[in-house]
Amino acid sequence: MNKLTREEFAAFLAVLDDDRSRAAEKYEVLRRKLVKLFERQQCIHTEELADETIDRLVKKLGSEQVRDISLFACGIARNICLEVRRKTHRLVSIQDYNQDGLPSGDIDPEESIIAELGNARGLECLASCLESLPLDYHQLIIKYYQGEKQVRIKQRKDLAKKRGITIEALRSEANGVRDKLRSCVHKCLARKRQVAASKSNASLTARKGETGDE
Amino acid sequence: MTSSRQERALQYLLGKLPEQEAVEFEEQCFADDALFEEMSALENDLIDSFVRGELPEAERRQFEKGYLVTPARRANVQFSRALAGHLSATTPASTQPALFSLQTWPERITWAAIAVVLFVGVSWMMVANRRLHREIDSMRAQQAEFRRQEKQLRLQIAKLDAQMQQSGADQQVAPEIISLVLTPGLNRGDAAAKKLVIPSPAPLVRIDLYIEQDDYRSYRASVQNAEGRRIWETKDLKSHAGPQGGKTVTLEISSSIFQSGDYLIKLDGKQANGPFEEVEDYRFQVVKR
Repeated sequence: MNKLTREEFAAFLAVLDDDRSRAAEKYEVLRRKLVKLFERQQCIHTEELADETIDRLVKKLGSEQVRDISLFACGIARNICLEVRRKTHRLVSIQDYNQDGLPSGDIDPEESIIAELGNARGLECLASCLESLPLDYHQLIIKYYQGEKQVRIKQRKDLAKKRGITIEALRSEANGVRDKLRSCVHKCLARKRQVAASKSNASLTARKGETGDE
Repeated sequence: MTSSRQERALQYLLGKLPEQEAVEFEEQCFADDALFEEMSALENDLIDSFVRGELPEAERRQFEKGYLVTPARRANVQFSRALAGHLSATTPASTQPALFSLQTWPERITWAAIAVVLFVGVSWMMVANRRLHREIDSMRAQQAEFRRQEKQLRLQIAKLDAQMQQSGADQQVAPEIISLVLTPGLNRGDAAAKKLVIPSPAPLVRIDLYIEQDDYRSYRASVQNAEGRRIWETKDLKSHAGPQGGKTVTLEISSSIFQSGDYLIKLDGKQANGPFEEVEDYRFQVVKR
């Protein structure tokens, strides 16, 4: 989550669009663009960096005239990326870099997600997030991605016909739902990780207490 | 997305664009939501193809080398793998396309047309079926009538047969030729005289005269009535093998010369140059109807 206050966030949405619903959609798209940029730039903590970018963007909007918010956000993101790299270079010696060119001591949360998506916890989150989708989106994601290649092609044509939209529009819609689903799964895993960490800390504290008693 | 834009997006995702071009493309995506969505969708398709093993070998290698460079992207792939696995494991009936779905107007119109055709077809078949049933019933009635008529005709025939049989054996249909075999000696005496029944109209009468000894070259026969008057005569008759063995001389006489009554046939024989000699006498009785 970014560090904006509720009022700042509401003001930012108002800048994006007069309609609050459309403004929220635009916010989501901008955030996805930022995440993709950080992914390509091979930055870690992409979600947090995207939020940091938006924080700075909102602050700038209060003091500067911005013609294109998206492009402005893109510039801020690149600067943040450079800052992160410089900081990393300053703090980590060359011997500590791993094969991916990332500092070995700094674990990307995505690595945990990769591991967790394959286990029961990940599948639980996926199933739960799928269930939490609105029925229309749920059906869309199932019909769009289910089946073998030829079956999928036919299903997608039928689905587009049924919805009265082009294949490209359907593809874009499914893509958006998929990103929402992925974001939901990531958040679910983060929550579960937090709960597990809390339990682990509590257990450790209790054990230390027991050791101290002895 | 045009093919050139798609190709550029693909190169961008696989890390094949030079850095400056990649930056430019990135900025275009920030400025153009539609382009960003297309690029994002292409990325997801690429990931899905990789996860499902649908990428050609060269593209798969390029994907591994150019795309899977950060944990975030690897997490995207892992997410896609989990999603594909979850969806393939669950095949709810509700996700199967309905066979008779009526979700679009063309489908509705098509099914409505099929329903109308079926209704008309079935109705026509029912009418035709009813008509055929009526025809069959009519034919059955005709058949029964024919059977009844046939039965009546058979009864009439049987009745006629019975009447004909009742009218006696003598009342048979007149043959064209009536045959009679006469034997000498046995026919002598009134009580033993053979009876010749001649029906009307008068046919030809053939009389075989049995002879015990065939000693003559030719024969002469004459018919006499009860008064002894000769009513018919013929000569130059030849003997031949009879129907019961032995020799026979055959006479063919018009029945019109006969009246009911007793008759006598005198048979004379003749050598080559000799006179006629008496051979046998044959008696018979004529009954004319």
